[in-house]
Amino acid sequence: MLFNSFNFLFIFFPIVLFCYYQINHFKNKNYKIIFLIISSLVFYAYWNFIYIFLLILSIVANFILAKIIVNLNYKKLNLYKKMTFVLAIILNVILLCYFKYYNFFIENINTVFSLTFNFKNVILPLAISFFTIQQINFIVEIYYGKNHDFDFLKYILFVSFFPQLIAGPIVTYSHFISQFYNDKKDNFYKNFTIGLIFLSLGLFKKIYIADSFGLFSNILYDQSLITDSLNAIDILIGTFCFTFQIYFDFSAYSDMAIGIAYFFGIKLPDNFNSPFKAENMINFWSKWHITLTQFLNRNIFMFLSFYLQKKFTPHNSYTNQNIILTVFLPIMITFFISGLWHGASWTFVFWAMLHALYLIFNYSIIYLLKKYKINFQLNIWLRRAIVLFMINLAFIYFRAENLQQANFMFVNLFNFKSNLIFDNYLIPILLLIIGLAICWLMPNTKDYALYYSNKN
Amino acid sequence: MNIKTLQKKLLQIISKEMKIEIKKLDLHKSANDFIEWDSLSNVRLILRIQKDFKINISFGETIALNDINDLLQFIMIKLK
Repeated sequence: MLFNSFNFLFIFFPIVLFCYYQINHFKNKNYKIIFLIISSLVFYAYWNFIYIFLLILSIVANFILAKIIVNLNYKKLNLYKKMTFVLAIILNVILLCYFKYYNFFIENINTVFSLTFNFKNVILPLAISFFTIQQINFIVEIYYGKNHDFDFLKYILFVSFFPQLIAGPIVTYSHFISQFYNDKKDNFYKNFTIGLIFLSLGLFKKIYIADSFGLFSNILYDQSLITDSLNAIDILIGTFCFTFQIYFDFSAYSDMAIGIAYFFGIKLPDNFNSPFKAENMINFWSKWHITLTQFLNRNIFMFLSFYLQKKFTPHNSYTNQNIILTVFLPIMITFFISGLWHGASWTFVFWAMLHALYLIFNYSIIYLLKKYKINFQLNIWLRRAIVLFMINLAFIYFRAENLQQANFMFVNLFNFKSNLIFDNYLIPILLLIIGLAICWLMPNTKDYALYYSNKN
Repeated sequence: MNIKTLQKKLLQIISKEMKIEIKKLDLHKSANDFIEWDSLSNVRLILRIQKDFKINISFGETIALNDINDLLQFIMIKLK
């Protein structure tokens, strides 16, 4: 059930909301938690009934392992604790790999060794990427001594809460669950106002803006599969349309999730913060898919950075900090994993590796300017434009069905001779101008929601 | 070192490394409150803290740190 589907908006959501506020009157808070769990499972089962068991299996297994880690911690059995921790991480990764990467793995083995292993008909379970990393995050926190007080009901809801189940934002246990036990009287009207603003702006962004951009980016990408040359003008228009499409689509989905959660009085973390207003690439990654970046930063980048630093510079010398080992290499590995997480294809890895190079370049520039005490900065609009252009280039890999298609686009970026493919140029160009104006000049959804809720 | 001196020194370090004005910093702020405080400068900050306070910070210890106050308490315990 997508948030913008009829069944969700006009049947599922109103019924769940109505019942929730009836149950909310009871003193025992477990009732509403149980109700939300059942609703979330129904929401998930609507897509594919069988995979509900996979979700439950993953939740139960992680819960048991987390409890074991806590117990071993009390008994100070550190070796067993560590082994359980590693086992938990491996199990999560295996589950994700089997469903998401099995065929990708076979395909690569076949190509490299010229073999003919058969593909399996595995359907990718909805949301598995999200609920897996949310639980990995939880296990890491448990292992390092955070939130030892958790129970089964709260844990199931934390993983399965339907507004964030399918595509995030990725939440942390303590932030999420504490809100159910907050004794502050809920400001019912305020929550509804904010929820409604987020939900309606999200719907508008998805249906009117993102889907309109989609029409034009699809024309380019479909055409590029059947033609042997493309005009650079078409490539620029079509790829920028895709860049705006994916931003409006994904940020709209996050807005809707945040809005729907607000109706239940739950505040989910921000996921996008006007990323196209970013002035450099480092800045971009603190504004785009924020909760995923935080997850990758904490659990992979920082881990690697610490590990490599301890291993290769044992004396913690600040002045001789080896930025290649403590920053550049961790960035490359983190983005490689991030690329694979986005999808089982080399196109996503290329997209991510381009971003890793951008970040390394960006970091080097800052480092050098600082080292030689040079005070130099381009005009802010120029910086934003450069960032947007570079993001757009990387997104060519993200959208392409295979590497050849993306490379074909890159080759044709300087070709101004081929025939033009769009019937009409006024509409896509106008659309791009509107999209750019929205991204650069207007406040974002959160600004609107806070503005109107504070007004009343 | 008492907690007041420590706090002052820590805020100065953060301000210098992150290029954030010191008056904008207080104990309840965290990395999420500042654009300047990204994961890359965070690596630099941790190295700087390790050097200046002569302490060792491991990866697991940073997981439980949520804001500047947590960091301050953590350094305090390490120095004892």
